Amino acid sequence: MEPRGGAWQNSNVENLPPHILRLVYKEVSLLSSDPPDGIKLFPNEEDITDVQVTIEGPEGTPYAGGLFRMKLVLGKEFPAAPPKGFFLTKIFHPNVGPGGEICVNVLKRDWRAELGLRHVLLTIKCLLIHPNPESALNEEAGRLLLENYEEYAARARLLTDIHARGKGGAPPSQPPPQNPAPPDAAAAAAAAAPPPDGPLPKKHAGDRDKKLTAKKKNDKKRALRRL
Amino acid sequence: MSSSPLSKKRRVSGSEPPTGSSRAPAPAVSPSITPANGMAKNGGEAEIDEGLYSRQLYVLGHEAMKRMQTSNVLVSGLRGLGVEVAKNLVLGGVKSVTLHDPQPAAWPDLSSQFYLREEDVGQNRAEATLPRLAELNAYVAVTSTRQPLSQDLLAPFQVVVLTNSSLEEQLWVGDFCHSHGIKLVVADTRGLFGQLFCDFGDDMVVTDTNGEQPLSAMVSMVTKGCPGEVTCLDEARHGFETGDFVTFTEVEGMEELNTCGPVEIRVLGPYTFSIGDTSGFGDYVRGGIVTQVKMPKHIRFKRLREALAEPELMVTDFGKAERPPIMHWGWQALHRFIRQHGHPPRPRHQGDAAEVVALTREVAPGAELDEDLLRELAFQATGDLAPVNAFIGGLAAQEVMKAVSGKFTPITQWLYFDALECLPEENKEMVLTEEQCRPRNSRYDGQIAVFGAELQAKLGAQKYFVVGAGAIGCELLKNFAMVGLGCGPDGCVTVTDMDTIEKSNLNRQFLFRPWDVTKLKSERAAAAVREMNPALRVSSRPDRVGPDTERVYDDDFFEALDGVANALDNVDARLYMDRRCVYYRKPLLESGTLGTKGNVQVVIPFLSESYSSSQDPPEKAIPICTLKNFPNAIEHTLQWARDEFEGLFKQPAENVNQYLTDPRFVERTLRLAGTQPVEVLEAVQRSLVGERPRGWPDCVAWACRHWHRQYSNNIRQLLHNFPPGQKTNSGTLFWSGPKRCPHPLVFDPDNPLHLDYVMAAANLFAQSYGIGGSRDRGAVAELLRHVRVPPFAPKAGVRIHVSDQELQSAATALDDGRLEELKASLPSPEELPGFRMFPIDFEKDDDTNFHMDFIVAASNLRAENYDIPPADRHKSKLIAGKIIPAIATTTGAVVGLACLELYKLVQGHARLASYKNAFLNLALPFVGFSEPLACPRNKYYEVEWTLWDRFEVQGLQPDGQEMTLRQFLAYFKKEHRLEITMLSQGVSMLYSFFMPAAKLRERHDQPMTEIVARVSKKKVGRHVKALVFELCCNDDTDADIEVPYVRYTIR
Repeated sequence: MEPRGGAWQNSNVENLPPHILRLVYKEVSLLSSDPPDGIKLFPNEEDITDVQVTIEGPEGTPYAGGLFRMKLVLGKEFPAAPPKGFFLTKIFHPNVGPGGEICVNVLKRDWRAELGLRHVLLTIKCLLIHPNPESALNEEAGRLLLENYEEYAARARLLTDIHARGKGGAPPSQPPPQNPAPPDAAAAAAAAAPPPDGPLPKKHAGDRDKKLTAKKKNDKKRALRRL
Repeated sequence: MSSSPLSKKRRVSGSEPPTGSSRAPAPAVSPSITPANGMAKNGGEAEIDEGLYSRQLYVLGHEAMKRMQTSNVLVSGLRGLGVEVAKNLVLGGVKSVTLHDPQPAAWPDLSSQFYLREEDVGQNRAEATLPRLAELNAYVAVTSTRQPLSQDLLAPFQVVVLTNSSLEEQLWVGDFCHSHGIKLVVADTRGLFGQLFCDFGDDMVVTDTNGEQPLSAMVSMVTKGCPGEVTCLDEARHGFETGDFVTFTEVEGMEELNTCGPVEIRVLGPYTFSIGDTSGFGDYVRGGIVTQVKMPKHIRFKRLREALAEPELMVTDFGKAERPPIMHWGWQALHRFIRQHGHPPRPRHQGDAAEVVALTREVAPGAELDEDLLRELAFQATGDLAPVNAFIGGLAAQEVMKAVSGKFTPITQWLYFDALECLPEENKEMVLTEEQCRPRNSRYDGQIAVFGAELQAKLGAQKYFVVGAGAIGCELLKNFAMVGLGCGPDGCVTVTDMDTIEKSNLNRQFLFRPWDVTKLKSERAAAAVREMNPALRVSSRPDRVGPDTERVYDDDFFEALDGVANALDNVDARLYMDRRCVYYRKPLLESGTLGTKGNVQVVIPFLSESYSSSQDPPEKAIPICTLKNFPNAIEHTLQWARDEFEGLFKQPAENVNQYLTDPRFVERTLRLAGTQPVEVLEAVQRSLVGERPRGWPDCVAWACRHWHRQYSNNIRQLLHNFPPGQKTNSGTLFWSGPKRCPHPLVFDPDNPLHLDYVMAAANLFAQSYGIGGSRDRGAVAELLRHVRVPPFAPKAGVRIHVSDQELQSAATALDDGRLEELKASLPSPEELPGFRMFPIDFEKDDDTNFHMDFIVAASNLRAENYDIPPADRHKSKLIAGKIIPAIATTTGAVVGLACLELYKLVQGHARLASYKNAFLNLALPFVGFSEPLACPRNKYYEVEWTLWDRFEVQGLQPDGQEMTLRQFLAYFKKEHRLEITMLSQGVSMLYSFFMPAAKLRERHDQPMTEIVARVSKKKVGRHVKALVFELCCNDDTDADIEVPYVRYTIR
């Protein structure tokens, strides 16, 4: 019965079949030793399916400078059913509910077993860059994002400052400082889904045009949904 | 997304024309006239006992059920097949079943006639069976007759089922029934062969061809043109097929679509289809829901005499598609043989078999005949197997239900079946001799005729474990008792189930009677099958299988078993049993049903894959944002209502009790992540202080205020954030597509739904505090007039201010100060001596406990907020209770097929091709078989391995010391040239290459069991003889390779 109390439910997965567990072990170890940019994994020895991570707030977003703790809960049906993501650090974001629950389509509708944990983490990171007010869990954030971006950004920044810096959002151990790789570039590349007809628009690495037109934003959103 | 608003379903079923037979001589009573009058037997009235028929109603629906309750059925022939058909029909709830059989019971009948006992031999079969069948369902009048069949005898029935009947009889009965509008089913089994025939008249009307919920989809575009093209939202595929009929609602712009009748469609793609000419219609603007409409289908049946000459044959196994025509002729030859000799061909009698082959040539001159097949049919003509009867009997009873209800597509018209793979794989002629298969006046003669006496001894010596005593469990046990599994001196059958019997079980768990309700299923089931075959050595257990009961079901238990038969209703337990069977290398019979659908999977050690090798796609979860803000289907509001139930009546009470009893509760709560500590403590405080009721009036007031919060205030706040005219960045309306714009409700104590909600919520709330409630609606309405509801003040327009405030509260929320404040404001447990709350566990099947009342009211109120068509209690219960529709026919048929696999396992069939996994859907009807998939073969170095293989490691060394981690790693390096990179037990990681060096140093010299205990924080129990480790390994070249698991023996 999600979502109430979701984030602190135990992930009782003693029933994951061995071959699935092996898959999880492999992926967790791979993610631990070779994490995606700005993401760090903290494997839990006692229960490897309890996946705790930190995500750095991407540059160029109101979350920049923040460090967000979150966890993935792999249900009994993983990987046929997607893991559930929860933010443990408070965040002001249209798609994150009051209990930290995350609403993103790639974790629901478009899930395929092959996608794996890395993809989930990247998707959630992408969501920090491109929030989707249309599936709002935090209605206030959704409304502000639609009506007044500056306002939204200011509040998101404020909450980032309060919760995602310093001891409040401190992860089990501090991740090493990261080169400010432009996270926009990765997202932009992912977003460059071919339009219905016509050639693929060329994206320059480092194209960090924050004031995307509404249409482009929409394209990205759609692309994100397709991920 | 496939919601099917009930109002529409009603309209569809309302348009159903009456089914075929319209003649009405006594005792037929025309349906739906008078209300129920409390008669015990079905009197033709429309009243349906929903408590009893609950799960079956979800398969058949009320309309079909009502038609069944007015139908009188004759079942002729009360051997194993006849009793199976009759059992299913009595359970199903037809008006009456008349048992016809002029013959006395004989020894061979006992092979499968589970309601005949040894002392009944010599008694009339129908009369001996009658009392036991009648016990199954008090609503069904069961009578018997030993009169010869005559036109007068047949005339009053709506359906006649012939079993164990001569062809001459079948022909005249077929002529009579066809010309008098009586529906006819002919069923017969001969050993591993089965035959089924249906004649439902010249114009049978099928109102629902497949039993599926009508699909629906949301429209995003309709073009003007000829044909017009409809595009659906890319939320979900529409799932329609060309030729389907659909209707539209809520279309804006092209409103003509909403009023035109059902239109036929042509599918263009997964999200698009075309309809008729729309060029004259208005311009499509937005919105619209398109819903499938079930159109009646007419089928013309040939009478038996014609169908015999020009057979239409349904194929059940495409691997043997050439067999049905040959069996069709062979069966006629059998009839000729019996007519000429006065007895059927004798078991394994070469001369008789040769004659049957010759007779078949007469029946089908010039046809190409499979003589081996025909000889087998002759050899097995006296064979009588419970599993085959269960399968054919399940199908036949479902056909009777189709005949009377017009629900689901009937078999047109012949079905033949064989399970010859059950016979010995090798040396058949030497194993199955005339001597081996001759009758010996034993209750197993019908089975010995097919398999010989030697297999009978083997069956008796088997030790089997039946996991679950529900519908499948009951059927398994019946079959086991009949085939004699575990009936010998060395055999046994253990059945376990932790559940007790409920009323809704009685409709298909046919070993239970009304007086068994509340007793343990496993116990009652064992007692019932002991009566069927006193030799059955069955013992019952009340355990749930799982890690907690591994002390009971330990190594000794499993190692002694020959096999396991699952009769489970959930995937978790199935996965668990699968893992245990793989570990102990035991065969597993796995079966399941869902309404008219069923499947059988057989798992054979070292041969096939296991149950968990292939996973069913999981049910799509509803996204949280859809539940919280954007519901568009009744499924969403029902799930929301279930969450409300947990969050209002269960979790708060549990938290409070923990707070009061567990001194470390606060401490544990404070360790929770994020905002959880504040939320949990605030909830406890609310329950103990802020909202704690002092009496019944407080509970009513709370319910009223909560009503306002959920159906008025929260909706108004949402509309404040996203007003109806809100545009998205791309300029479209925010409230469009799958997002339905809500509206707040106004509380009205005179509105029955509103009062329903308050009644249920107030009573449940009171119950959670141990306060007495009330069912007096008038009094509650009066109390409501005095409830003061605080006015709603939207958090309007003052963003910055509000946000600052919010920020501050959010910021301080994490502050120790805020938590201290909360802790201080909580009354200490000492201040509340003896006070406890009462968490409420949701129970869907009790209609007096207010649970479903709350769910239905809460869901329908929210549905009204969003203009979603409401659902009645029946449908709400199905969805919110996650009820699995079930019917006895499917279960009987599926378990019959599972038990055919049992014959193969017991004989030790070694070829994968001899085994059959099965899928069936009686509604379509469809039966399909497939060879189990081989276990996948892996390889490291030159070692081939499958999921059935493992490394055996002796953890206890000769010196009595246990292996340390260092030694374990070295062992694999040395013995197997494998570099372990990760080592785990269950979900615990014991070792990994990226482990901190200090930790590794510490662990290196610890014994393995100690590491397991430390990491998992669980002691290794004394009953554990061995541990299972999983490995990730590198080979010589540092490449990552897959290897088997490790069985690490410690005792």
